[in-house]
Amino acid sequence: MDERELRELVRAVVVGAMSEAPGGNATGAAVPPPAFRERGVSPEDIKLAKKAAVWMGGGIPTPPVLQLWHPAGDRSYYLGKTPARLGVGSAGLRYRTETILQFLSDHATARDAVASVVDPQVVASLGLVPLVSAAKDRTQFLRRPDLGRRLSDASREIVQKQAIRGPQVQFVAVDGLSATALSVNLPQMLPLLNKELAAAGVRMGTPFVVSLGRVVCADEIARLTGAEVLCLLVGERPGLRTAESMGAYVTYMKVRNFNEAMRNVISNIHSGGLPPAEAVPAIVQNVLRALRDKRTGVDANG
Amino acid sequence: MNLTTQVRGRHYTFRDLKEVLAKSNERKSGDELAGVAAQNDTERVAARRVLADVRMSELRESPAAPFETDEVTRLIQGDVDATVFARIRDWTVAQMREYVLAQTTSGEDIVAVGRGLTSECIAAVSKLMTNLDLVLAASKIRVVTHANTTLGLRGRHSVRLQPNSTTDDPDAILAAAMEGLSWGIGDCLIGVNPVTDTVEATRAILDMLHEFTRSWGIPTQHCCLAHVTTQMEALKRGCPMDVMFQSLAGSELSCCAFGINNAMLAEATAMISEMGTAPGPNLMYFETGQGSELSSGGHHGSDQVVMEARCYGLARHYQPFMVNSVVGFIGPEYLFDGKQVARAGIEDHFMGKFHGLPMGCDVCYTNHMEADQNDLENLAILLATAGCNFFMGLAMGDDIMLNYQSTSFHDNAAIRQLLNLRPTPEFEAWMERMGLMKDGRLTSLAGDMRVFL
Repeated sequence: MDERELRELVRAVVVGAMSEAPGGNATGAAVPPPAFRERGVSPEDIKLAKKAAVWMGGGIPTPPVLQLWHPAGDRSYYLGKTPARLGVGSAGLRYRTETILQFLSDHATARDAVASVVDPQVVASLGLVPLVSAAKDRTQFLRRPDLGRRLSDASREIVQKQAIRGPQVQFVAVDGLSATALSVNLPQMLPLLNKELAAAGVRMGTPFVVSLGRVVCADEIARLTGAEVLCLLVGERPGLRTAESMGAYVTYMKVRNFNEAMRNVISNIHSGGLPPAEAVPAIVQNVLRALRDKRTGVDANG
Repeated sequence: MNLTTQVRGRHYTFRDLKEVLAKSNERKSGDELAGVAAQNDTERVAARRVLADVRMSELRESPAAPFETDEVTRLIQGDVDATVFARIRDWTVAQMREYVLAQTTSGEDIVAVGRGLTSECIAAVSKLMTNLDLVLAASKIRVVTHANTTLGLRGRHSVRLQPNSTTDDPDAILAAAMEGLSWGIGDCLIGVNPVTDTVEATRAILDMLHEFTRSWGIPTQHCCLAHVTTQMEALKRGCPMDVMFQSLAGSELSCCAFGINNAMLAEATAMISEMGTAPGPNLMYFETGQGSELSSGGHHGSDQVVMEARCYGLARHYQPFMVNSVVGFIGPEYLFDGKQVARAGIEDHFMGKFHGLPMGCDVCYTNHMEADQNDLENLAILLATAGCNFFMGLAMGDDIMLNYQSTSFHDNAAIRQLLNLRPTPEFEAWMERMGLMKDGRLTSLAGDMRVFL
């Protein structure tokens, strides 16, 4: 044990010792928490601390430099501050039955979201043109990120033959790791997004939705249509709290030497995070700024 | 060097040692993604037959990344103990495996030999070992380190408390920290991953943890897992910090993708020694994980076990307080399912300990991989049995910020009781003073944050 460590130890014990003393500590700080007074340092500890302090040659250490910590509230205050799974009790050293069932239920929802496909009714009602990546199924999509980053040959042909050429904004939805997120959020967002961009006089391209896709596959679509700005919505990796979280990427495409830092990202879009209705104005603002400044990304915001 | 063998009458010839090493691996989706995996089980066995006869000197002479262009290779080669190497240079991988497993070989012996090996040598040995081989050999090795308190003693199982918040809210962090501490979680570290990687966020989190831990006399370490450059800047501005964190990769290219290099790590280590709030001597905390080199295009055509081993070669240069692989975090394209994660977890633990490192593990899974809670619990028991220094501890294992599942307060408490393991001695004494633990068992007060309120 070296001197510095010993000093820390002594200080810790003295902090406790001070809080044991009636009438508060030497700095005149407020009364220490009751638990410390009840189960604090033993008299032996205090004696040892004093002995050690004298041995160190410094006499009794000065009162602690740290204020004693005070809670900001009671247990329910702290539990209310976080969505973490605290205060769930236990069955012995394991979870209560209801607690583990809730946990497994949340995990099942997340797993199902990963395996999900975008609701065909949503696709049809929003007038989205469906495309698919080069991955042949969900398992291959998970194993081969490279395949999810590009379109299948058939889908590329669809874009080349059917898409509006040279739009100002190309909209693409990509399922990513949660098609559920698209099925839930798109109906709330896309009509509003179209309305606001149309009101701003923006020329929109053909809207696409890609299954088994990753973020990068949307770049290919925007390049094929010659769009100026890519507006992408993608299903994010589901957590236990929600399987409906979506990310929005706004990217100015007419640049040389493109890199990932050139995207503007708004993440955590879902009813329990950034609500879809609030995300739309943020996305519209990003798109309009991209069209005006002719750039997006880290530098554009700096 | 012989690169040819026969399995059931069929001849196999391999191009070079890199191919032999890669094809000797247990099946991993990341090696398949990289295009370096064996085509089938027979080829895998053929590669292992060839590898068994390769000498330590031959492995040392074939680093995964070229000496001339890779500073991680140069650092690993430079750290090899010449005297030890001279003694074992002609040993084959098979001989080394049997030496490590021998009843007459102690944990100290293994670590001593490890000082004379490059990371490629250590990776090679692990490729010829079954899961139980890896658990048994690793269980012999104790690596003890000290910052404020002592980590890694036999009979101890420590936990990094990971009270992450979605907003870096101090009270949200404290809520999880207080409940965790009352379970006996957090004896090796209270480490927060910040949402925003800024000096201000780092400072706010550490100021709060410092005041709390020092006021309650909690014998542990604190850390904020921002980028190392952010932490250095915070230190310069007087931020309290017991331990400094950084993620590592196994090649210069991939370290570059993490925004680090050897000089920066050396500077960080010197700075935390000089300006940190813990006496040390071990003050760095590193995280690694199979697959990160491929993901940043810095794997040099090597497999993910070799590249992971090189992270440990890099880590040992800085005599860290703790190191852990975040084994289930990277995703199914590198480790597809629970079986692959389990294999990687016990490989990483063994390879780290062989390097003389204080290895822990973030036993975890994401929701897009073929793994679940049972896979996590199985691996936790395996690794605790292997003498793993520490795990993570979160409320029900649910990381609300990073969106993955790791080991919980309950899991760690159960593992301690199951295997008769205790927190660090300093922390155990504190728990006894707080009335949270008696004779190594949690009391009825445990698990309730009200002990602090």
